[in-house]
Amino acid sequence: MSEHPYLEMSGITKRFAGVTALDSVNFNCELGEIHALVGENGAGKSTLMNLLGGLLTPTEGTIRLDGKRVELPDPNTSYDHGIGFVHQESNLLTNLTVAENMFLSHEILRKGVLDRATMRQKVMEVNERLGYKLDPDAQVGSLKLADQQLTEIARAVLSEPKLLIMDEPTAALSEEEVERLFAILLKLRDQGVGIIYISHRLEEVVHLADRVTVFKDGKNAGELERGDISKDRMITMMVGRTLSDIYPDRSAVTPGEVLLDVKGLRVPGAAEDISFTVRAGEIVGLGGLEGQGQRETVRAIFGDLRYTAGEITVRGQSIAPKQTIGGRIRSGLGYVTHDRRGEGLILHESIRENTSLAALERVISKFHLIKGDEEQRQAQAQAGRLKIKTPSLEQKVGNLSGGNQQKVMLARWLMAGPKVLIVDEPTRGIDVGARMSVYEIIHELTQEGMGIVILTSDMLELIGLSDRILMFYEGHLTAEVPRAEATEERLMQAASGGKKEGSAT
Amino acid sequence: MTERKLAPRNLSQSAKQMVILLGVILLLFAIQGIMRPGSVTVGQAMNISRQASALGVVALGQALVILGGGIDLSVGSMVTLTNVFAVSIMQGKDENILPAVAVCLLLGLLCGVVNGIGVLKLNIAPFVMTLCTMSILQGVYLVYTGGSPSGNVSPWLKQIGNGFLVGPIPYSTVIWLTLALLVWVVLKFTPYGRKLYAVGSNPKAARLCGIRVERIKFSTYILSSLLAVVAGLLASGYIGTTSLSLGNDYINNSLAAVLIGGNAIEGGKGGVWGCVLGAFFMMLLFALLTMLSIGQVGKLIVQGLIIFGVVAGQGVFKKER
Amino acid sequence: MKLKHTVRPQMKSLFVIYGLLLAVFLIMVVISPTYRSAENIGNIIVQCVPLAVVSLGQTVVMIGGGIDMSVGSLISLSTCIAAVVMKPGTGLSLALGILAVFLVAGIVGLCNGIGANYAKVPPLITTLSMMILLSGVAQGVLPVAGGKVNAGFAKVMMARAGIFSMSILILLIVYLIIRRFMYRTPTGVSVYAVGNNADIAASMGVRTKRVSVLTYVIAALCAAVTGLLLASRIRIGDPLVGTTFGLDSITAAAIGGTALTGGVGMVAGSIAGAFLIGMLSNMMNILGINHFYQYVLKGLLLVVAMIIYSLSSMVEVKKHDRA
Repeated sequence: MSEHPYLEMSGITKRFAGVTALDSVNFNCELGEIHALVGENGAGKSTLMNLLGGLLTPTEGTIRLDGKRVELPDPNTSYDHGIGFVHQESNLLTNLTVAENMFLSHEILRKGVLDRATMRQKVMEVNERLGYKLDPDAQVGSLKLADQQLTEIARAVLSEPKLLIMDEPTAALSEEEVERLFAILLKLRDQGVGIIYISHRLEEVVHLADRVTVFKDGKNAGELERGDISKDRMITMMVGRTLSDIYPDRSAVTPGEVLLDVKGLRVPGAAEDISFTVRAGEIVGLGGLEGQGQRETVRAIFGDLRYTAGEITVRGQSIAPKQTIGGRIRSGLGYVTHDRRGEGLILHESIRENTSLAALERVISKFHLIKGDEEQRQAQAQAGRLKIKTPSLEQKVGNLSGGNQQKVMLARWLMAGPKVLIVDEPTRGIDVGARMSVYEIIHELTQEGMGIVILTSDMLELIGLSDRILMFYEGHLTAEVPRAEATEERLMQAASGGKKEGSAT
Repeated sequence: MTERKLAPRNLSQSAKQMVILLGVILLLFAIQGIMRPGSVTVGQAMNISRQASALGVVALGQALVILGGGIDLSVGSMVTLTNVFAVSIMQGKDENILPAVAVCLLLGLLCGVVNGIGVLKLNIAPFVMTLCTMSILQGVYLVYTGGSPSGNVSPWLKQIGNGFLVGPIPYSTVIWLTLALLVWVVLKFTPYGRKLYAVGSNPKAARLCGIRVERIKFSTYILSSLLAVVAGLLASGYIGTTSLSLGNDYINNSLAAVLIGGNAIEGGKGGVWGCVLGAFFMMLLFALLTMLSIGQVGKLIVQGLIIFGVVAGQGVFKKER
Repeated sequence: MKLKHTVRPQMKSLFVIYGLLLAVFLIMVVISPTYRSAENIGNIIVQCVPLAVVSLGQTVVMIGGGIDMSVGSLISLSTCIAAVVMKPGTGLSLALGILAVFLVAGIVGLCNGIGANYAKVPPLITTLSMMILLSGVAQGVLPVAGGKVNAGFAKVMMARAGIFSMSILILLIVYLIIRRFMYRTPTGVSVYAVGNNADIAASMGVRTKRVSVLTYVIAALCAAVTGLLLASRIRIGDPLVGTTFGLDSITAAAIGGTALTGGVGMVAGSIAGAFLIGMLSNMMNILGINHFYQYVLKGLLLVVAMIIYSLSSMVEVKKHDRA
């Protein structure tokens, strides 16, 4: 190691309107190393990387590159300093072509106009280098999720970065594509590129990283060197306690009658021949890589997507395919979306209004007017039960923390009184305290006889919470794994179609 | 990106804007009082409210559509169409009022349904779809009248448009405010109102709560067209005759009234009383500019600046994203 | 000209719209002998070009995710400025007139762009305010139609030989400039990027606000060209002459396949859209139909175009579903 590391971020603090996302954090990265950054959702990893990528500016602290202090006010400056960024969510323009996306704001010109031929050729070169088959002229919006992710990786590699940030690049990739990516990353590292790798998949981190920094609650919780990296140590540092403390003890669970019965469900373009049941008091986990049809399946069950075959029965009552979402809610279904800000909450409305939105029919008088006191009473009851931290129910939900927002989502559905509640990503973007209380609530609900379906991309959560796990691969169910047999290896294998022996380790 | 705000709870955005607007209205009255001492009277305020009532009613409909996340450019043509048909059916006789009103309401319903189908079944952008109906309605009344409309408003409707219920209170103001009250009750105290706000703010979230988003949006276009018909009748009564340019300013002015009143163009935010004040404000402003003998040129410039200024000002009050 | 490098998926909508234009034209040619005279065709072109030019600018704004309601008033204002400044008839006044028109347009476009991007007022409101304000200014410059456009200038602008005319040449030049800008420069790609998703575009290093401001300036400059064309045709300034151009240019762009949501559209489509609208009144005259029906037809034309687009995108989605 040289005198000072190539990248040195020291004393970084970032506040958003009063909330501290990063609290005097130190972080560094050498050239020619893969430095993994792990931590729970909301621990501040992405915020730190966004500072480096020029998407945010720090409230306090300094960033040094090669010993020299730099300011990174915008993405172009970061680019000019040799920082490449692969974003967590697909961060591409769907109306442009692959080549246009890869060269956007760094186009190659000839005589003042775009040199599309050269750019196309460069795309082919990168294709060859990375082993991809991206069509430079394909519109990005028409690509599969995985290919979009590859396009982003290619965009970052194309810029010949000195530092490459990868924020969960593998979420949408198959095992084979992940392995190819790893080979590329190792090659880049050997060529002297510093790689900052963020992942939730700790197996990947053990496999890949030269060094790991763990984040917890906006602080740097410690560092592990190559020899010391193990899953258990990372988890303990991330969470501050061991796994068994986080998840509710569900050994005493005895499932009751069948509440939801799905037979031969077919969602065009997404899922084929899906059958499963959910019993009273049971938590069924749906797992798999991103975009394998699990989300479409539950959305079809909830009536948000059309399905062309299959039968859905709730508490013995068959649901017509044309039944609306409202009708399905009345039959006893509920769905907590994964995208709480985008399609869950009305951010500028109050907790009360958000809570009662799916159950307005329960609080109206005979003149069809909303009974204000009744609404208040019921919303208050749910908010109290879920321990939503707020001075008043009139608080706008946009002002709440992620954890409290998720509780408002749950409150909404509890007020509507479903028999089967589907929870999509129950703990995305919330801190560990709120996470445990969400688990506790879900656990309690099952004890009251509700059936729960969870969808999660967090493997530990899937294993820790579910009584039974169904794995999806390319729109099919590949495995049904009971709690006792659920190991990460077994699930990863099923998530990759079960074709390969062993896992990435 | 995680952006959380823990702002202290205070007046809601739209309430704040209403207070500001009320202040601006009082300021206008004060200016008027200083420039023309003794001209600020109850009678004059009532007179302005009478002039504002047709615009106010159109603005109510526009507000509903905008709340639902749409926009209705066809209201102006609907006002003129109502005028042309009502007058030609009435022929200045009171006994023809019922058929005239019935025909106009039917036309309004039809227009609303066409807008609704275009926007919600055919997925045409609201702006474009209502632009279509605007042009078609324009064609219909031009063809119907051949470019030179004729006829007279019946005495009863003239009385409604011009006359006074008791003392200085005009009929049209009463009708306007009654409709506003009705819309307010619907928005504030019924599931429909609650759902409309949800649909305008976040249609996906509304859908996942079991709300029939399309139906709610559809209904706003129908209500908007029907309210435009009512406004057309009030305006016809007020001018007492027929005019092909009657509805010309209603698109711009109704949009301005609604937005000045604190409703957001993206939908889901705003209320009724803001847009009532907005319509009153517009008319007061025009009256004041006329009173100060500022010509058409000045009026237009001031109007443009004020619409922009008010909306920009509202943006300043919204904190960073 | 090689189009190969600029093919976009929306190319298909170009075929639809030009097919429609050709069909209407051919039907008219078959029905009416008067229609197919070179004189009439030349007339139609001269009539349609002003709308086509301003629609090109409108299209750029709409692709960038905005909308410009103010172009109509700006056109009126441009005719007024031209007529007032050029009135003395000297060469200097001519140069000053043209300069003034473009200068004012540039400032107006800048104001629109700044209002919509930096003052955070929605584009619709910004440009609506500007539209009202400019119609006031236009009436301030010329309360009633009047002034005088430089005769020589007007003659050149309106020069015609059969179906060829200065108008079509101007349209061609404006089109080529905008086409080159949109498809061959990085900024053009950025316009599409900003219209699709400004946040993502910004994170990829695009200066989104500057790009957006530029689109408004382009629209305003196109409106200025239209203003000069109209002024040359009527030889005077008229504070109301452009009134319908605001909504008509949006209609033309929409018919041509540009989406109001931004990020989608082809500039060439808007020319066809403008010609379809512009041909209506001529058609009414030739067919001896009450020309007020053109409003109904304009509305229907727009509906039909939108239905075709929404149907074809549904087919597209289905194809994608199956794949």
